[in-house]
Amino acid sequence: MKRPRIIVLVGLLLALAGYFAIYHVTLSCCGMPAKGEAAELGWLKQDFHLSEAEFRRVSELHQAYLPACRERCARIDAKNGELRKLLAQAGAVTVEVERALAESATLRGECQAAMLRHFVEVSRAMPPEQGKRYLEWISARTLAPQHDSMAPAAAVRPPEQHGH
Amino acid sequence: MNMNPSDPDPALSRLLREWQPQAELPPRFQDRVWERVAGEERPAVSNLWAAFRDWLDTRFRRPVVALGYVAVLMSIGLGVGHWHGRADAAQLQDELKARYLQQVNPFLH
Repeated sequence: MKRPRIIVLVGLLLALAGYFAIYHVTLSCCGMPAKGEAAELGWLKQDFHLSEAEFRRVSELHQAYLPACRERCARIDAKNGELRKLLAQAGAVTVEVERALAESATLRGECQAAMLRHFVEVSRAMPPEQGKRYLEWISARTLAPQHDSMAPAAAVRPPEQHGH
Repeated sequence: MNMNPSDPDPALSRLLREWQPQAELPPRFQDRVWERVAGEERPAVSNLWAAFRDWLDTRFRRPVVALGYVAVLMSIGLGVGHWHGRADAAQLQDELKARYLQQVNPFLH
């Protein structure tokens, strides 16, 4: 009698079919980005519960920010190159080196300011609560302490409780 | 004549010791021997398979059991698929977030 073997086979095939179907459904609704410009930012829409219009605005801001950001990065790189060259020529921190250093710092400051302005703009394109959440999230990841290892132990230690 | 009780016929014994059989083994004799040995072992496996088939026959004769089996297997497939899909989706989201952060923050390495 072949019926039991057919049942075994049908069970296995249905299990496999169910596995692949639910895998793709879950992946497409929870993680797989859409094609095109939304591919990179799809998660923002999902995580911060954006409407179509809000998402479009956030995408536009993102697309406008990137070329300007790349341009600023290129200027910083060029300035750093100049700084390296000056340092190699002089072999000391001369007035020219200090000036180039200050210019590089200014460029970096401008870049950071533009970045923060962009974050604020993006947060304003979101519903207020989500915008606040986005700003907290992105600040925590972009303004996190990066020099813990260089700071004195007292500076990184949590403040002590006052006795009174 | 000295009779050895364990050897009732010494003449026959001597003859047997001197006897050198000249017959040649048939072609592929060894292969056939191993085939027979394998043939002797095979029924154990086929017996197991037959027993398993019999067990399936008796179990799946009841539609409730057959349906239950299919339902359980399908549930396992759906459950594992859902779990796997969520895990991959979470990983993908993390990668996209990291990529976004690197895009918007050039100071992030």
